[in-house]
This record gives sequence, C-alpha cells and structure tokens, in this order.
Amino acid sequence: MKKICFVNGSPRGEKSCSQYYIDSVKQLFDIEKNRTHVIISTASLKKKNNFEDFKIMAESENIIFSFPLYIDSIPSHFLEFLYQFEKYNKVSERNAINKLPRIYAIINNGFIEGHQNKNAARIMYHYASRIGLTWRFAIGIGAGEFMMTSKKNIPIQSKMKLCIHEAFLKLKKDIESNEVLCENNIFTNPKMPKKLFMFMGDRHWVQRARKNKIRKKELYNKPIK
Amino acid sequence: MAILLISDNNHNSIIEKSVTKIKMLLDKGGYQYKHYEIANKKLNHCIGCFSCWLKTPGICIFNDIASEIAKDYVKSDVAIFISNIRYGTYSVPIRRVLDRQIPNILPFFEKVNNEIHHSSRYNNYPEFVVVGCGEDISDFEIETFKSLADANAINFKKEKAFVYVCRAVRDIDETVQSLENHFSQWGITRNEKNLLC
Repeated sequence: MKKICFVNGSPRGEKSCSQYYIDSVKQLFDIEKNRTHVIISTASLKKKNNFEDFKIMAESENIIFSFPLYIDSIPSHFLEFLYQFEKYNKVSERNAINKLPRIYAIINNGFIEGHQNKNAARIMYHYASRIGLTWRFAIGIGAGEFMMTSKKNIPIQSKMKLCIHEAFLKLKKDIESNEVLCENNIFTNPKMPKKLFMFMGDRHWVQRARKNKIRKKELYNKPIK
Repeated sequence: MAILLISDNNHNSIIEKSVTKIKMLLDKGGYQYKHYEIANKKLNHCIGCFSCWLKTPGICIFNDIASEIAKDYVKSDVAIFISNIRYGTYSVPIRRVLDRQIPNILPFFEKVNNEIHHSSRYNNYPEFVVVGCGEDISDFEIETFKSLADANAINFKKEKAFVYVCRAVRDIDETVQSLENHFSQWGITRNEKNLLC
C-alpha cells in the first residue's frame, strides 16, 4: 500500500492541465493497492486552517506536485503554498527522520519545448532539499494548452503524445519501487514540428478571442502610451 | 521614466541596505526613477484567465499595484527588481509582479534562439535587472536564480538579464558601483537639472 498525495498547483484548479496530468497519472495506479489523495492549492490557501492538508501531505510516502510554468518558474500563489508547507514541516519530526515523503513534480508550460521547465524543476529540487525531504525527479511537459484542448481527440497514448505517457509510467514505476529507478528530470513534449505548433497556437488564440467578440487586430492593442 | 525600482523589503537587512544604497545612488546622481515597495501590499496573483490577451488585450482584470507596475514597466528604460532568493527563485510578492507582466506581451508565438516564446506587444522593453539577496543561499541556488533571470529576460524581450547577488552587506557596494557603470551603457544619463535642485 503506497500513500500518494497529488498537489494541484494551478490557479485554474480542477479545470487545469495540471489536473489533467494528475488524473492521467492517478489512473495508472491500482486503487486497491494504493491510497491516493488530491489537494488543490488554491482551495487549500483559502481555508482558515489548512493544517489538515499539510498533515495528509506529510504523512504520504510520495507527493506529486503538478503545476503550470509561470514566467519560467512557480506561480506565486503556489510558491506561497510551498512556503506554508515548509513552515508546517519544520515542526514535524517524523519527516526529518524518515526524509519522507519523496517529492516529484509534473510541470507544464505553454511553449512546445518541455525543457523550458528546467529552472522550475531545479527550484523544486532546492525546495525538497531545503525542507529535508527526498527529491526524486521532475517531468517537464511542453504544449500544455494544446495537450488540454486536444485531450479528447488525441489521447495521451497516441503516437504524438506517447512520450508523455511513457514518462508517467516511469514515475509510476519509481513510486512503486523502493529503489531509485530514475535519476534525472525528464523533459518531453508532443511530437510535432515547431512551425505547426506556432501556426496552430496562433490560430487557437484568434478563435478564442473571437468568442469574446475580439478581432485578431485588437489582440495587438497597445493600451499603454 | 528612466528607472523603475521594485523591491520586496521584508526579509533581511541585506535587502534593506541594498534598497537604501541603490536609492542613494539614484538620488545623488539625479537619475529619474520611480520606486515601488511591495512588501505587505495587497497584490492579486495571476489566475491564468487570459483576459489580458483575449478579452481586454494588454490590460489585466485586476486593478492593483501589480497593474500599475506593469504599466510603468514598458515606459521605463531599466527595471530593477530587488528580492530575496529562496529555493533559487524570487520572493512571493516579486513573483506576483512578474507573473502579472503577461499583458505586456502577446499570446502569439515567435522563435527566439530556436525556442518558442511569446511575441512583443510593445516596441521597447526595459533592461531586466535583478538584485537577489540572502545570507543562506547555496552556489547551486544562485546558479538556478541566474538561469531563471536570464529565461525571464528572454520572455520580457531582452537578450539576457543583469543579475547581482548580495550574500553579505559587503557585496552591496560592488553591486551599486556595477549598476552605476551600466547606466551609461543602457543610455541612462544623469539629470543635471535634478542635481542642481
């Protein structure tokens, strides 16, 4: 029986790509043999007392933080959540002795290159080290907006997205094993030419703006004079 | 406005002294600048709604200090962020301000150094300068911080960041001197009128 706690670090909460990845990883685990729990960081921060959430996290064997990349780093509200957990964890002797939970991160960014998550992955490594927990590895995934909007039409096990599914399988195996199976961060993204990604991305923004009755030309507005 | 100074002076004496000495440099030199001290200020965090791209292009839905800073940012020649360094990244308030800069860029993509980034909304952007402070920072955390600042600079339409790290009070004078040397390189000149006043 493994205790796994997922923490969604997206300001969009349950409607986010971070949650989509949590759901994708969660379904890989046998629910009979593992106990999973999901904490939404925005909801947790709104609670008057979120110690219950931190207790669940601290008592898990594995925490998987799933969050979006904001300006090359961790979104500010989620950083605040991490500060709070650090403060809580300082008073927990159990963690200091066992160096548990083991920390994983799934980071998603809007650009196609998964490797653009490298700084955030390092920050999470520093975080785990500072609070005295065991760092395992991060999975940095590009094209978050595309992954979300295409999840029904292009499943995660399709050829284009298979590398992401395989990264999730490595994470699952690492959690299920008590050995160190994966040493390095994994940076990956759906397989498509950059030109196609840019074309589709730009078209996506125009189409979404049109729903708000905003024309393409208006998207280039310069309100600051 | 020539210089925009944004500080989160809520962590340690090194930040406090850095802010004081940088302001002394700016005052003595008669440089035109605007200072935002954001410690303990109410700043909304970016909620990822994309309204600033798709509903009110270039304008954030929140109207607070972070929005004011975003407006002043594109009007300035140099933006200096003073933050503590924790886990190799900025403080929460400084991160809030950085996250809230996205109205200043477009949703559309372009290639920079063979990587995809968002395109510029405006013609000019300030030099991206960061002063990171803290006594207990590892070399690896500093390396991460510098790499992060460089990545930020690219997303804020500059080739690279200018990063100064102050681990002790003695590092501050060197930082201030280096900043002054860079001002002329960035085209920032002393305002003789201000000096006379």
